[in-house]
Amino acid sequence: MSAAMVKNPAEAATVMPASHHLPGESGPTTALPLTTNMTASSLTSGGNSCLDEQIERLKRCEYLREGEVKALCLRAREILVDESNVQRVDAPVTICGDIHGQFYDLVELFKVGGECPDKNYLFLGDFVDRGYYSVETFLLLLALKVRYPDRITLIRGNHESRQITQVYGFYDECLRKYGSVNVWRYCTEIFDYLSLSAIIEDKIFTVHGGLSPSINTLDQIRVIDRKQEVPHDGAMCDLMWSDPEEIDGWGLSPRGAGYLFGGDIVSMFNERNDLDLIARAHQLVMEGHRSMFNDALVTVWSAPNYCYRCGNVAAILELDENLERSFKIFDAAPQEARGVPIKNPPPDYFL
Amino acid sequence: MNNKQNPSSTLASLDRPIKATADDAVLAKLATTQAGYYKDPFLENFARRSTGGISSGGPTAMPGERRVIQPIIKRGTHARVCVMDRALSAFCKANTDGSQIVVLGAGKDTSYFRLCNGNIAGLEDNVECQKKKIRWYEVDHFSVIHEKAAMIRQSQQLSYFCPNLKETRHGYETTASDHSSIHDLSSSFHLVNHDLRDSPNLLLGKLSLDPSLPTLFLTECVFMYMPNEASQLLLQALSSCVEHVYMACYEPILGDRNARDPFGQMMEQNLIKAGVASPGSCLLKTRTLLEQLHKLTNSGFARAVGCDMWSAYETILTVEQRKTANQSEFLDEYEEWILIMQHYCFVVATSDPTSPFAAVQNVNDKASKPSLVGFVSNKCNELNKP
Repeated sequence: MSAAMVKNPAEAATVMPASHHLPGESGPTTALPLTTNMTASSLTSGGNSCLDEQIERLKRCEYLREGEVKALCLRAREILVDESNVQRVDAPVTICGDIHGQFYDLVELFKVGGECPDKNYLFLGDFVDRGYYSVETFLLLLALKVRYPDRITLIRGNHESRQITQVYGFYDECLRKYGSVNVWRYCTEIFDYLSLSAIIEDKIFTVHGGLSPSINTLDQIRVIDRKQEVPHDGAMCDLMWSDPEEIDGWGLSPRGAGYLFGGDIVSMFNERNDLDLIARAHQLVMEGHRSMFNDALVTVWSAPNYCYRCGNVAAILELDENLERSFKIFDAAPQEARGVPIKNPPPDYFL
Repeated sequence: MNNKQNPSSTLASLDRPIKATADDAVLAKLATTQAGYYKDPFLENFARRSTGGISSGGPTAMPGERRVIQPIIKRGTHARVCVMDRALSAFCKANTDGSQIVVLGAGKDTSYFRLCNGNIAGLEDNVECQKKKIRWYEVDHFSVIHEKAAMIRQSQQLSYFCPNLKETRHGYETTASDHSSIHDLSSSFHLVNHDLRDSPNLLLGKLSLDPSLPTLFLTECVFMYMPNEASQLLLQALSSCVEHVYMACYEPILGDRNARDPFGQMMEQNLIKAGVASPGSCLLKTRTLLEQLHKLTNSGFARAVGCDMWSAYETILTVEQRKTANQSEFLDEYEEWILIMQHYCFVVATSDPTSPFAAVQNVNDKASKPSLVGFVSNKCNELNKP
């Protein structure tokens, strides 16, 4: 990636999209009740058999009824609220990058990597937007999280945001599939509870985007109050927006949010926090994964033929019990392999 | 952009997705201006009836559903407008004593109105522009010309710059005398009905250009839909139709078939599926920047210069234009942005090999002046006719 576009720092202004004419930002309205008014038994027993049945439906790419989504989100909140901003994860584990609503490719990912809960999974965010099935994708991952909380970890990406989902598709998809924005409201409230990062066996730090000039230690991440919309700047924003780059020190991001960080920054951070590796997602890599800075950082990208336009392969990173790394590469699922799935609009070009 | 006419119903239905791309362009441009990338007060007049082009939803779309244009498309549309405007302004500045501008496959292009209104970068001084003696021609399929004329007549804002638009043998026109009766304008505006696949000599007959006046031909996503042979014949005819010929084109480049280019291959598949890439079309035949340049010099142009749109973004757009883009919207799709921009190109050509219009700034020579259009030696390719 080149940063040549922003040679002049004055050129890059951090401007978030103007969310004209759209709800969702009008104030702290809460779609989910603040306390769960279901009984404990209805949460657990009404729970798992019913949940298994919902997971089966979701695996067929059928979306849940609005009431089911609400109940699922309430249960997910109970679990997520207790997670740390730097959630501890045990090896062996399979690390997955961006999914972006490419549901059939997520199914392919599980075929390639093994089913959950047989395998332990860590997803690095960006479940929604861009693809045609953000609703089904996020709900399947969330249902798996509720059903097997110790076998799957979901952390937040920059697309798990009210603002971004209004620009990149999840909002419109919810409106189209449910006729109202309630499901979008339930899901975006859950986004606020997703953890910001994870640490595997104290040695591998994982995050959606990257590092922040405001963060030197993992403890500084632990004290962030994460239960909010992704801010426009600051540590929480940077963790989800930043990118590694072949530079020294910090640079301005061409994305307009977060920073570029160089190999020296990574090596300082890893040393200070006694880490071997940073694993992150966020950037399309045509080969599915890319190591940088003498293997001190790796990018994992798990959306094959991204946006039905890019033609790239996808990867997942498997860590065994000794934290030995191996990648599995996969192509777009047959349904989506030949470009645009039938019945969906083609991707945009300049015509 | 549409440039097709065919009476046969089979062929007409094959043309339909291509005709719809004119609406794709207008809707993308409208979204781009609404997000603040650039100003075009005239687009709304043309977007009113554009319910959506080829990408307008498909069977799953519900009526009234809002069409979301991705930031990547808005940013690229802005870049497209900027480079074509740069060519237009370079040409106008270099030819102040009368000139002709011909927009081929014009569709709902608004450049004429933006020029008159001072919305073209580098030509903002509209009084000065209006005094320039420009004869403006737009060429497209009959149905497009007809619809555009109706839209102009219906809109006060548009007809202000095209007073007394009247029907002619080959389309519509506002003559210089129509203009001068209302403003101090000596320009004229012509809508010309022609299918670009038909005989180029027929087109030149309809245009009846003044051979002594420098003439600029503009095409945006036009050749891509044409049969390759027809585009070669057209370029051959244009390259020598007047004494001083200038050309500026914006076209997709799918990339070398033998190179590993998964983005280009997927783009090819998607455009074929969208029904806009017929087997013999330039889109599939003229696949790289170098092939685009060769085609122009092989057709008789003395010199051709071009770059892919990713390089154009860095060299031809001004710092101010990039800054405006960054302030209009942030861009999450950075890697994809580079890929899509590398699959489009901006190319200019001239009949005069020494014309400043096709000059390139040599980055290794400090005395080398900035080029009129903005080409920089390490970010573009140049080709002279052997």
